[in-house]
Amino acid sequence: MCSTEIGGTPENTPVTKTPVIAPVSAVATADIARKAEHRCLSALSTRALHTATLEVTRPSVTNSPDGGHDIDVVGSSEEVKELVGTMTGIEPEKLKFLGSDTNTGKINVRIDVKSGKTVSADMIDNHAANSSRSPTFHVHLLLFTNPELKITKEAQKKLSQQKDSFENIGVLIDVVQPEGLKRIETENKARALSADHEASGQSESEPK
Amino acid sequence: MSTSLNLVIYQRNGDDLVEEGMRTARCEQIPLSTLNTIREKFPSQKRNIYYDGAKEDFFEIDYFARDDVPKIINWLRIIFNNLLIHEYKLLNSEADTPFSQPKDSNLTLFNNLPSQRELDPTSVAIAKFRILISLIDIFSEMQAKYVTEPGAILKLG
Repeated sequence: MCSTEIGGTPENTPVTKTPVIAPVSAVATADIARKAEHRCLSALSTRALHTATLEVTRPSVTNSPDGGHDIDVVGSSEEVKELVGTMTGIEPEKLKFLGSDTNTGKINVRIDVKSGKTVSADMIDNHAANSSRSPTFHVHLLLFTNPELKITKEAQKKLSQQKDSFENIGVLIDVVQPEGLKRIETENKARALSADHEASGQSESEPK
Repeated sequence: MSTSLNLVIYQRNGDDLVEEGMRTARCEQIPLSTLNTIREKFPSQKRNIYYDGAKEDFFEIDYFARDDVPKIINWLRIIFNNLLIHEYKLLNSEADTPFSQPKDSNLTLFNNLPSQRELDPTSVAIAKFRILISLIDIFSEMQAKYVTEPGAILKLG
């Protein structure tokens, strides 16, 4: 079983010993990464449309180092826990340990979007380091969009250790698998259909 | 959009590398366009990393070849000097267009940073130096501390 890491192209690349790769793949990767960010932004913004408090922002559109801040979400404790629960598969009631902003009572979420095929152990190390450097956030998600995603054994082990460690300070650190984003998109579609249905029902019942 | 350049120490198993028990020595976030420019001159390589000693599951990584590391350090140090000269000239010029792209071909390392159009020249210069120093630091750490460690890899992404 093989999966391809972030730096490569998303297509199935044949595994050979030490081939030289064309630099153009980095350009392709940049475009794939940009599109993955926009897909997440779109799904989260549509979600926010149906909530009372969620605000979604993209802190930086430059290609300068951003410390893993691709998308930020802020909102009420209830709505953020519901969103995080949908993305991660964690029951919202199991997120009681989450802290919130002492002034606003809101929860701040940092999302780092990745388009590669593999969650490797060094990525979890870096995600934990970026999370420590963003102390005003309560949720740190490494969100993957590639449907062929694989999490290595060592990455899973490190993630589990880091989750326990961050939970002790009221912070959630986790990986969102592509199904998590898909669940948000599916819920968005269902809400849109329901809204359309309600609108058409209302117009039919309106007096002519 | 940026990616990371990671100095990772994998476990060795014969001629193969294994992720179980790995350590991350250093991680630097670098703009993709900058890494792409380095790869044009020093193409990255691919190799397999096994999940564990059973060597059944593996993933593929891109990395900079060990033999290229001293050459990359020398090249980056030349760019550092060129950047100093370029920024000094820029600081002392009265040109209306302070964001002109550098003529020195090596300084294309810093082209395509959209922030250059949004920030003042000093902030742009600081960003360029920060990226360049991050690169010099991680390649130098690899060369200084891990040159004899076969499990040490400069992994992209």
